[in-house]
Amino acid sequence: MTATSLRPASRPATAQRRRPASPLRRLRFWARLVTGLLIAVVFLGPVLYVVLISFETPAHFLTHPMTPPSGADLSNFSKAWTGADLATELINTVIYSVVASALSTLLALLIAFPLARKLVRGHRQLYTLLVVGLFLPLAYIPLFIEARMLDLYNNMPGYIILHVGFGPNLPLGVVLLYAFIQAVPKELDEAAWLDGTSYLTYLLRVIVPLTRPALLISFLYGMLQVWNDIIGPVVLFAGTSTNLFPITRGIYYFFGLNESLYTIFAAAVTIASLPLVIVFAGTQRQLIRAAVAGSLKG
Amino acid sequence: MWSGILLALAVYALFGLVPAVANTVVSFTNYALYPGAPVNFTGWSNYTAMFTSERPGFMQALVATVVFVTAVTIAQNVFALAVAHRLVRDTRWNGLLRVLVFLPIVLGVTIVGLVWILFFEPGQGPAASLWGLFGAKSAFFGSDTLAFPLVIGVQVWQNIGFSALVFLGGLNAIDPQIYQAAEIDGVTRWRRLSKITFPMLAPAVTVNVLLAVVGSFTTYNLIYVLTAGQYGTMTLGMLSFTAAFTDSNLGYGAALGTVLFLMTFIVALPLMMYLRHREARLLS
Amino acid sequence: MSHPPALSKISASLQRRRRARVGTAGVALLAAAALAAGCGSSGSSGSGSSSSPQTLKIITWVNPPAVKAIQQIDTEFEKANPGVKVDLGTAENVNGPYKTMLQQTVDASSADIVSNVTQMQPLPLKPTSTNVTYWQTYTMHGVFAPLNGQSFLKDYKPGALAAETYQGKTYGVVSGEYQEGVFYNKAIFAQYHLTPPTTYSQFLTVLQTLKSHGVTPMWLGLGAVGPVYLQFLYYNLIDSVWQPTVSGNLSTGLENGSVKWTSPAFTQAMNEEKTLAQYLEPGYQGEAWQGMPGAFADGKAAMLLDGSWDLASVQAANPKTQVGFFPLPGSNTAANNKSELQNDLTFSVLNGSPHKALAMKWLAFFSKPSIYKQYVDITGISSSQNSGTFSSFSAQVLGSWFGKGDYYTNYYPVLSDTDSYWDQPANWPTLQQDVISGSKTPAQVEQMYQSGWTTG
Repeated sequence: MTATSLRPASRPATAQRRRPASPLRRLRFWARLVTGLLIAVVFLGPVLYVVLISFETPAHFLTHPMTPPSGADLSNFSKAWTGADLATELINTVIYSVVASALSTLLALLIAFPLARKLVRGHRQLYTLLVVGLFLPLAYIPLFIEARMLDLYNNMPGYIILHVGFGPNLPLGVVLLYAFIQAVPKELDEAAWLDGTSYLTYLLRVIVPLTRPALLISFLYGMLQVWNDIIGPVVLFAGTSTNLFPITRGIYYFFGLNESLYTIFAAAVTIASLPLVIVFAGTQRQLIRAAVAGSLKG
Repeated sequence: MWSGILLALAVYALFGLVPAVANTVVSFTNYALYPGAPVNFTGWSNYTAMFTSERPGFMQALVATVVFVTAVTIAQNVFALAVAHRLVRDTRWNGLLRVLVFLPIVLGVTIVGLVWILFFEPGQGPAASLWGLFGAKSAFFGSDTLAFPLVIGVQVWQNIGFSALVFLGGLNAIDPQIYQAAEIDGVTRWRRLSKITFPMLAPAVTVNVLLAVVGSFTTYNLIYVLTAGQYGTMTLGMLSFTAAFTDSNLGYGAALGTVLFLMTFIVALPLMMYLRHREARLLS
Repeated sequence: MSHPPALSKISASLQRRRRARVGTAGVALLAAAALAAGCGSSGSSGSGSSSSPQTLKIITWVNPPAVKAIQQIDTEFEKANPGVKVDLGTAENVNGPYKTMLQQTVDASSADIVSNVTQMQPLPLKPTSTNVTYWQTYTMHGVFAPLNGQSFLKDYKPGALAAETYQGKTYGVVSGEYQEGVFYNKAIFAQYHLTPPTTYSQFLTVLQTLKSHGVTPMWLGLGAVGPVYLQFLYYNLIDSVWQPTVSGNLSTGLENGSVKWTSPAFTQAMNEEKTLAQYLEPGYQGEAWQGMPGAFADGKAAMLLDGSWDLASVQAANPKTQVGFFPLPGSNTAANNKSELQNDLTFSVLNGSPHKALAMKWLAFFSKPSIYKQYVDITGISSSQNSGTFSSFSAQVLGSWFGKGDYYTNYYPVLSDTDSYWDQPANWPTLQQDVISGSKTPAQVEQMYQSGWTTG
């Protein structure tokens, strides 16, 4: 089955056509236009304002932030780039969120399958134990103490490993995969066993494509959790000679009490957002296609 | 298979369960985080303190949390569904709009928070200018009346993209032939939406509602950036976050975290069971 | 549903081996943890050996001018001490993530010098775990190294030192202060032939003159911060009107009960506050505090009620503005009218620091007149040292008042969140707003402050 839009490409010729009255069609067109514009304004507007600010000089921003600047002041961008070491931090953020989330999704799969197939004694209790993880409080201080004991404090691998198990990412993956795996018929399992396929190969070749939506949602959610973690970097990083911070710390470099640095901050925000927007724009169609469920039909 | 199970369980137990259990233990002490700090068991005093004037703010935070969770969950899901419905066709414009809707998520919570702070800057920001057109003045995030609704609004704004994505996936999964049959039968659009589309979206609804509820119970980072919990925006998640900063006794913050966990658990677990049950019923 | 025989047999044998597996896996994990704990117990960077090169670690919160100044000083310190590196760690928001960073750093002893915005003093008369700050707890429990006997202490003003002294020992160095008072636009004053007033009646004359010419006399913004920003009125009025009627510190008197809130001097101060507030711009309650420097620089009012931390923004908004300063005169005796001082960034040395001697060396270096001048000039803070000449914008504006005045902690008592409702720091200013608006009389307000007031 192909993942296409809802409207079928063509209707069977024999179907009775109900042509909607012309004014109704007009109304629908306008409704689409208005809602589309509304979405664009609501989601783009505030961000555009920040981009505007990044072109203003501090004096202009303090007195008339709403009027466009007379000449574009590009010094904000260079100051932002050099001042906060944004490049390194952006890369760090991407590494932390992608790797940690990928690992936790993988681990979720490794435990969700045996649980969903009831291959383990006490699977029900184990599942409940994992579900509880969705609601657990984020106890950063004990995590900090543990991290120091296990030498996972103030280094990159440590930060990633800690985030694989900390937070709702792993449990969410288990919950989603548990449901999706149950939808996969057990006959496939049996066929694979008879074929002599190894456990891991079976998981990766057969289960993964069939549970793609669950994997994708879990991965995305986990990635966002780590991406948006503002207190983790403060608790788990003490500062070293190489910059290990993710962008949630770096972006605050300009956010002191002094207002006149808002313009540089806005430039930093713009710089930090551009690569992400570009990447998402490029992949959004595949992303949505991959989120399609029910590949079992047809 | 076993190595996979054990590895997953080990990581989960070590970094998910152990800190949470330690947290609960700390909540019964007056543990402080400096070298040589004395640690005493204080029994339930950290919990009873929530209801006395010794620790003001707990009851208000409780009420605020209930309002916050309800408002955010409903608004987020309703708007996300509407947006997903609008953007379901694979046109070029819709592709662009989808990127825009997902933009807040891509930007991350600190940037989103600061974008809105700038936008609602009470002096000369865009919102202030618009407000001024109606002859009104407001402190927005500094106002006792508007701060909380605004925080709810930004929380919804930030998370619509993810929910809409899940709904889009759900909408795309509905077999077009069902729609064709409905069209032939002459079902109106509204009835189609409510009797066919919505029930078939049950799995997506389960995921979205659950994530919204759990997320809004525990969230603090956006509130922290926007108002730091002032002007009536102090939810339990935010209170538990700041309690760790208000004094050296970490026990109270830990107790708040445990209470928050219990609340989330009590609300979300039955909800999850109900939604799963509904899913099974609607899709059988 | 049943599994095919092959699968169930395999899973059964796996289950038998499971116990053994769990056992070995568990032991392996424990061993690894123990090993790691043994190796990594110090955990963080900046740990221990005294072999070269040594790294001195300082932490502070994100405050761009201060960070810039400290970094510059660090570079010079490194030049003066070859083989030494200085590492400045920062976290944003002194009340948020920086507090966490401070917590962790103290617990792990992972820095040598730490900083904070509040000081050890004033301590509540009855300190409990809920009414003292982290910084105070640390000081009281020996987290910081005492600085008594260090050569650089004598460079600092007694008031600055007193803020960090506890039971006879000084635990920190206050690097500077901010000052509150009235900032005026020199051009507007010149236009109406006005000179900075030194008494209350002169002040009223100035205000009336401006108002009669249609100029907004004073600018203040409570928006997004609330009535606590009325402090630019009530702090100075309490100091100039009430404090002179009390011998000793007014704050101590209130705290031990020898002075009551129901004092006629306080009534007079509040009445003056009500009068003065009439000369603020209309709608000041809704004007955002963030807009204050910009509005003043734009010439929207002749005077600005603010603290000297905002001077940099005023200058940035309009470099051509000529700014002057005078303390808010609440009294007709000129000598009673003083600028209000607030201690700011304070450095302390951790007792668990592995480089204590080096840390002291850094503080001595920081306090040297030539280096300290850099710090003050870049940050725009007011000097907390006894002598020195400074050329920052703040120094020019504040003129002879630079670094001089009364610490507000001397006349304003410690309020805590666990006090009775109207004596809590968040609610106390609300009643001042009520006095100004006329919805409550000063006598009523005094009664409300006094009725729940607990003394030591």
